[in-house]
Amino acid sequence: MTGGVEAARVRYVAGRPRYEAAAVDVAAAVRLRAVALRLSCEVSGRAKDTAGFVMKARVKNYADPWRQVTDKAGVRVVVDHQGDLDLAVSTVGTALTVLRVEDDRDAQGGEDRLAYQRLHLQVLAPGRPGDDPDGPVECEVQVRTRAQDLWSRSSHALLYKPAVAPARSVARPLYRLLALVELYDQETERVNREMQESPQYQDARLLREAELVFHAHVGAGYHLPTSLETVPVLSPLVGDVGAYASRLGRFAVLHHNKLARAYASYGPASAIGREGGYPLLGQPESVVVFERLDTAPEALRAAWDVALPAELLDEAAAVWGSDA
Amino acid sequence: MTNAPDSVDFGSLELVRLIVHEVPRAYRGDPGAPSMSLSDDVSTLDEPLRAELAARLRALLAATARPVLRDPGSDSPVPGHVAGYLDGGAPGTGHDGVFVAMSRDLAAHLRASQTGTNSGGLLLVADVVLQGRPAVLLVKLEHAKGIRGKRTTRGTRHRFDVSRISDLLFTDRVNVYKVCVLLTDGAGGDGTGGRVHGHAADPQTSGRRLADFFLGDFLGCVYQEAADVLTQRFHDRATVWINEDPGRDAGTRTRYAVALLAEIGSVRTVMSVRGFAREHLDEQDRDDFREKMRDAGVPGAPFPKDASLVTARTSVQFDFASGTYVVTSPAAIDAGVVTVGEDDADRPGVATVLVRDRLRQVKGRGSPGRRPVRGDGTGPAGARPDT
Repeated sequence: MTGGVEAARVRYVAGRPRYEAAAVDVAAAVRLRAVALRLSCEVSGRAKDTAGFVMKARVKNYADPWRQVTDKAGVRVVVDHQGDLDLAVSTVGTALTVLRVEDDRDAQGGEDRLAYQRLHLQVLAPGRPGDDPDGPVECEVQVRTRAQDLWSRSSHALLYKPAVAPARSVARPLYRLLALVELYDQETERVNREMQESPQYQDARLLREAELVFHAHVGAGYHLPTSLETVPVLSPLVGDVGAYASRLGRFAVLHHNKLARAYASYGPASAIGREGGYPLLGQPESVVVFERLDTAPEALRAAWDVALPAELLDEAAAVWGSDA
Repeated sequence: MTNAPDSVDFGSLELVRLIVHEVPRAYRGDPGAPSMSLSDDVSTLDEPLRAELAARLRALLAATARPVLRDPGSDSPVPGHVAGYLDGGAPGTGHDGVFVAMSRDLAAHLRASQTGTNSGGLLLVADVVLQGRPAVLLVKLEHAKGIRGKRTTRGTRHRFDVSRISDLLFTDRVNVYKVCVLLTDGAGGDGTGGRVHGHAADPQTSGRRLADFFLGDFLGCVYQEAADVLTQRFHDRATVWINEDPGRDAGTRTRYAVALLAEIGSVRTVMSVRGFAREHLDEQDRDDFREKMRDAGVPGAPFPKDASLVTARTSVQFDFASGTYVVTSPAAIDAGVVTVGEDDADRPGVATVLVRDRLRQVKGRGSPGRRPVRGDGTGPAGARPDT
């Protein structure tokens, strides 16, 4: 057994750089996909340190340490609340090749005990030149909420990795904290769901989506009170903000150069913008205005003219070359 | 049916440089006519002015311009001047002198083709880029008047000095300018401008003959599609659109159909997709109507109405699945003599046409009968012989 661990250790020392690269590649793929799917999350990756590799192999008493230590490369995806866990799984699943999923959330039994609910995906890391075609590099992706992550960081070393099993006076309080983790996650998800159903939240979210595109072209700040007047006029025109976010993202990609020219020539850093001209181009909601001018100019004009100064829309239409 | 011919993105227009020449009103051959005032240098454009002018030109083209082609039957030198300039490698980054010379040639032709009935004014010639390609833009302008207020301070006393100005070039009324942007298909032509094309607006302000002057006599161009064809396409595609949405109830379809007939038969001289949508269609239908008309090749910019191909269609016909059809006039619908609705909740999609009027007659209707023929091929039995 010791020989098996030692052989695996030597092999891991020689091959660790490849697992460092795998963690970087997997994390990058997940981040990119998360942006496309509008998932708010933190993604981090690492290659297991050699001591950790050896200690895991020995503590778990693995017969085949090289194959059984599956987190030689590891990535962690931390989401805001448990309502985003499924989206995180989809994000990983559509970004990478998933070999297997370990999901304790719906495991039967265990209602009478507290335990960390594991949500892990074993994936294939993107290939690199020189990879062994018969020995693809794998990576373990852990998906958890912020509360779960906090608990895990605090307790993992005490509960799972000590040389001596923890006393009841140590273990029990730590597991009790899991109840608070579950309560926190459930309440956070409920609050988030209520916010998303609130019209005011829809406006805030629309502004946020517009900002993501706007600030790719404009570094200056903007006048929030103006946005708070304008966005409620635009919000009913776009329908579900979640679905619209994807549409706006596609619009931003398709018209990237045209948007760049528009903001360079009429935005707040432009010569005419510094003189106070074309003020709407200094607001992030102008991105939504441009998208609506392309897609539904009549609905935009009808809604705008009853609530906001017509000349602002006239100027935006002139910049965009629309006859709205 | 064509693909949308005016799918050019005027939002891509970039202004490189411009020059303005004054071409006063003059009767042809009049030795005492006021002389032209031609500029020798391009106008100075600081960045704010360039941005403002570019935005106004984009708005002008987007709202009013339609595709045009060189008229092979015209002897206007304008297409040749434009083609020679664009194909000569000078546009955009070339020396101002070549651009100025070309613009002066255009102004000279404007003067030469004028009659006394054409208003004088200014000719703005611009070097532009449209969808990444060099182009020449021309606008015929007249000085506009306005009132200006400027705050002044004398000592501790403030006031607004109000003054009248009469040399404005652009106001916010975009629909009265004659504008044209011309491009070529590339170098290697015969220099006569045969491959010149573009977009132009020649709004009728004082009668058809005067309007044709700018596009036809001066520019030597014609609209890519004739007004009668466009009017018919407008009518036909709008009729299809009115009926193609299965969710549109019979009352709404009737209202739209009557509006369409009224628009065709009205005294208006211009057809406008946007104007029709805003005046006659429910708000939720306007964007779909505009999009479907654009896809069918009906210009977004207004065009002259020529209903010669659709004037026979002056009544509204309701066709039912059973083979029943009802023909009535828009006036009868407007007067409430004929009403249309879908008011049977148990039978969705079933429409009712109700006619409340004095019944004048009921008669059989069908194909005329044939008289029997005798076996020898002569007329019917008992018929008197011809005398």
